[in-house]
Amino acid sequence: MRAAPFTAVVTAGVALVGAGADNARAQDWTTAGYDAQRSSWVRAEGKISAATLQRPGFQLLWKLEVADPSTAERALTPPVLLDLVIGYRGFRALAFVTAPSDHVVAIDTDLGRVEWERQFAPGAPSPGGLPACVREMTPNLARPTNAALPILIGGAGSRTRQPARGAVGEPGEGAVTLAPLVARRPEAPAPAPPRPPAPRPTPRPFPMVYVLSTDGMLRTLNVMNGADAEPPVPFLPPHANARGLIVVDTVAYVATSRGCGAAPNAVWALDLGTHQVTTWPGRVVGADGPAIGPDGTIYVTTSDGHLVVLEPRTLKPRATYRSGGPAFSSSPVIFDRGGRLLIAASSRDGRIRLLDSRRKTFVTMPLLSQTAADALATWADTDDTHWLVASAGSRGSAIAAWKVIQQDSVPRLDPGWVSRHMPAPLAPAVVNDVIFALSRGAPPSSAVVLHALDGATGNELWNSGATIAHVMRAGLSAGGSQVYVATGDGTLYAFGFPMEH
Amino acid sequence: MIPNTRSSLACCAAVVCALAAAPASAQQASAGGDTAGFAAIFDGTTLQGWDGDPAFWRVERAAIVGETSAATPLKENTFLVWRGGTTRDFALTLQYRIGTRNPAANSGVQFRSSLLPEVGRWVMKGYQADIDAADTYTGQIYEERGRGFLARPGQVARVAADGQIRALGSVGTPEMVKAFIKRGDWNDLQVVARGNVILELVNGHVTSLLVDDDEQRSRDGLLGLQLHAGAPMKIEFRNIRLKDLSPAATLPHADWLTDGGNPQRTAWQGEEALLSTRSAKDIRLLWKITLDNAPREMHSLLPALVVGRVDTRDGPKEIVIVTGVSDNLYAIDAQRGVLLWKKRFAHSGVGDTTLHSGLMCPGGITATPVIGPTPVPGRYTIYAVSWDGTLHQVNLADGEDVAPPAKFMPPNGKPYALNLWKNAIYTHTAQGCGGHPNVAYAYDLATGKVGSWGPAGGGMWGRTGPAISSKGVMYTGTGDGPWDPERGIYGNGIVGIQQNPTTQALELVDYFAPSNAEWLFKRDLDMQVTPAIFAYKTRELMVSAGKECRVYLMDTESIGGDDHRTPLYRTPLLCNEGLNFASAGIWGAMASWADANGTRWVLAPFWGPKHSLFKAPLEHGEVREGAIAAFKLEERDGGLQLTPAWISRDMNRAEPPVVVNGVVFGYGSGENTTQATPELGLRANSSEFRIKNSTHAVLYALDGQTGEELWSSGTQITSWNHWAGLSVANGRVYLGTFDGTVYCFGIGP
Repeated sequence: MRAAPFTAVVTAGVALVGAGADNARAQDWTTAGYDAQRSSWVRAEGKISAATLQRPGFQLLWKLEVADPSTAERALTPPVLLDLVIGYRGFRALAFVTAPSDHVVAIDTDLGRVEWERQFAPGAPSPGGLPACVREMTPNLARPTNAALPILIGGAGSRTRQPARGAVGEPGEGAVTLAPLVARRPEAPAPAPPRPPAPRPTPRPFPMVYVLSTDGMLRTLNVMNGADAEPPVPFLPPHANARGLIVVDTVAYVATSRGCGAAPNAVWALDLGTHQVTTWPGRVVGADGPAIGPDGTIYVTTSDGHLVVLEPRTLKPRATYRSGGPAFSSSPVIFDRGGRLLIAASSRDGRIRLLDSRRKTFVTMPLLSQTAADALATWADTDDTHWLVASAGSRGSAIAAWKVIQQDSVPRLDPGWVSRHMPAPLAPAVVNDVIFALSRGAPPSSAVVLHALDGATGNELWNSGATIAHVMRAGLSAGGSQVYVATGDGTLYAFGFPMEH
Repeated sequence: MIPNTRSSLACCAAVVCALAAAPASAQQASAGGDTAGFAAIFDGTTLQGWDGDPAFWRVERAAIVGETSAATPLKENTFLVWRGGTTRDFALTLQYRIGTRNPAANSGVQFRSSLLPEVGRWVMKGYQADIDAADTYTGQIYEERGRGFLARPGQVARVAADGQIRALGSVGTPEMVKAFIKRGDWNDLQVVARGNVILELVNGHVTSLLVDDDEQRSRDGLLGLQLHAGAPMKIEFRNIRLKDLSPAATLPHADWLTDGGNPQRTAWQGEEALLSTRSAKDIRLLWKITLDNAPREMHSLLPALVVGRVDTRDGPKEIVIVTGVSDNLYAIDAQRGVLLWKKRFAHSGVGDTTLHSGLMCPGGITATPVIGPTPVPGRYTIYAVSWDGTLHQVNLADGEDVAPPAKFMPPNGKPYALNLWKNAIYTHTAQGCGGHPNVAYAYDLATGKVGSWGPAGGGMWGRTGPAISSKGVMYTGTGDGPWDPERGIYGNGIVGIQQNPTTQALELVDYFAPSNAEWLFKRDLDMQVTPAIFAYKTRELMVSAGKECRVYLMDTESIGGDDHRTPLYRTPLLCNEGLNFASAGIWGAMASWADANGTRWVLAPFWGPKHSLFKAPLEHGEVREGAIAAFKLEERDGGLQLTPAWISRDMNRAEPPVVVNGVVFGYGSGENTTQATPELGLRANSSEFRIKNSTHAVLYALDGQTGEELWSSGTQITSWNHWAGLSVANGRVYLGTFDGTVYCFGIGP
């Protein structure tokens, strides 16, 4: 029984599984790139910081072989996270991953053990299209995501408390805890009866995770046991190459590319209430698919160098911004800078292009390093300086960071730092002020290495050495004071500070 | 021989004979004769058990000697007080010899008396069987520092309700009485008192008889021997024997005055004679009574409290006090199972009394009251915190207020069982009910000041409230919250809090958290069980636990060691392999007792299946729903440890046990404890859902040495309960259920 003042926590818990079930807490990694804005920045996280990583203790906590080792394709999706669910088995922190063959697994992230697993679409038709499609059909996972910009809620789980204290009341006046009550009693009118809430659909009493399976069905699962919370809903043609499934305000969005299966390249929207599917055709690029602004507006980058703005739910185009450059290579990243929305993306020419939503013009950075990343990350330091981070360098051999500077109300990117040499770095994730990035390790091991870099300097704070087996197609996510590496051989690694169980 | 010629005398004698079987043929009873049921209260060699001024009292030749001299004169009468008990209804026999050198020498035997510390340490007030050297007063019934002469030598007298004293007749003249007394020699003195009738005999002859109907009379009190002020004198007493004639004397006088049995919360009834491992098979339902208390959420009746002998208008009674959540107190005759009185506290100050805060915050009374003795033997005060947060002090005998209700804490909170320690009422609160902070409280009865202290952790919800050590430190688990003492945050630990005697503030004096407190917080496996505190050799130890399902052994000198994280011992996990927060783990309260061999036992009730790795030498079948685990406290390798001894049979949600005379009483509550289901999520944690899925409680008697089932209530209990509890005294075990029924099981006539 979680008891008050954990009422707040309980309330949060109830909200999480009740009315708030559609709005995951800000610190959960609910979709590719962490949040609706694809920032890949986990903020207000309890234990991980540049300061704590300079001390010993950060280490591999557990690894779990999720995919069937007998299968040829075993790559996992980076986990979608749920930091707290009060389930029928107890309080749990869960990670959800998918492996090929529509294998969905929920993992207890404290213990590294499987909580439940399901396999979908055993009778799905055989794939067609390009040979590459065979490798790209890993299903997508997402949890409901709030489009609002995540709020910095104070670290350490935001459980700010007054310290313990004692007091003694006046004789005959009872405890001091009576005082606030007495103070508000005089002349206080009886509180008006609460107004009946506006009619709204009864929220589900449990959190959900959405799975887009290879057969194109969107499945709504109860996070507690993986059972169908609703019948599967047709969303995409089978065997599409889907990227960046995200569910915002009861609408699921995803982008398809490469023409895999019978799916045209497009942005797709599924209204979870009406089950109506809407598309906007276009050659969308970027590993994380569409990004969504705090007002629900959809932003996508295209292979013809456009940033397209779409209306929520209907996907009607609102605006198209021509970058003036070649194809974009990354999904957009959205962030707020001084009350204005900035949208950044990487182009194939190695430049980052930044759109000021007020000026509606692109700012293009000079070519400082080759940065044709398929995903960017952004974060802000304690001075409220925003940074962009991406894999960079010739043929991608480092992580680079840029500061977002406002000069005469015009944003620009100033070089920040370039990391140590990292072969083939992948898209980074940021936890507070620490940049986590994966790279291929130095020969002869060629193991995948997880690096932790100081967000302010790029200095390496820690690395995983040869802990992770030699595999590519790895991916990152983070939350709950742990960093997860999902690898191409179907193994999930969890790194963090140990906690005695 | 005193002739019994007057009818009034015959009447009174008949009364005495009827009431007091002892000297029924009172005319020739001997102090050294019938000794059945009499207990020597003077050992013949020392003044052990007696309290008096050593300048005047000594033991000499198997007699108590009180003597004054010219060098040690007395300015006022002094008394040698017997501290071994009180004299309510009794027969007393002794021999006395008073020196005749001082013809004015005076003495007497006090009974039903009280002390007057404001006058002097050894000054008494009350009834006296008078003795004097001149035998002018010997044989009379007198009242020291009170009404004076009540029944003079040879007199039969009555004191009316208004205090008027009237002679009813005579058993002889003063001269006749005087003739029976051996001057300067040993004389037999007998006093028989029962109810309002007092009879005095000297050397086997009735010398006076008093019928005292004065409403102000003392009904119980101390026994003492008098040494009178004045010229030097000497008085001697020997062969002093006392027999209890109270109707209630036929009952053991065990009490259960507070939840958990005592301030240390050991749940061990140490004064039981009827219930034993041999007699347990004969336990049966003695009575049950359904009360009119309306349940709130899942709460209904709180654990019963028992007083073995209460002075009521109708004579002494054994009374059971049961509290109903809807602001009700019930007094039940323990022998007959009938309601004696009911009191409902006014709760107009509560405001909204509708149920809308969920089952964790039911409103109403949530704290089991505590009963305290008063300076007057046989009179007790119930201390209860009503729904509106007010402290009530109620006369146990009749339910009347003995003090005005006093402000204590905010209304609609959720305090847990009250504890009484040195004139202060302790409790703690949880679940933030009423929107109030979770704090520990101490109400100082002398000053009316309330100290409070909050751990900034979770709620403190040890079922039987705080446990209090011999040093007056209250200990409680701090429930679900982070542990960060550097920031003054003490969740998921145990805190020791003590009242500052000067300011009455509560102050933190010690604290402990398990080394895995962070994990406990993350998984909601909080430390929340009421500890049990007990003496072990030269130390005072404490055991506590939480939902994680381990037992911690601590020393109250320093419960967590220097780092506040190191207990004396930590058991392995007993249960909760699945890390559940709702239907597994140790809930409620611990228990501890010592057997005849001096072995100290610790008992832990737990919910859910036994941990697959936890083993005990004696197990009694598969444990699926809960059980009681018993440990022996043993010294190993220079340290103390809790060694598993037995695991009970399966019980459907094993609740905190109580222990009596080698028998462990435990029960499965039958409550549905589900807080979440896959389909309903936390909506399952509603009274509606859980009541519907609850079954019925079963009470078990287990052999304390083996855990073997000796008896069970089977299907006799037809309802379940939520956070109720067992109470045991005088051969009876009490349990209340959700439907408002109090069950009394025991060894009946």
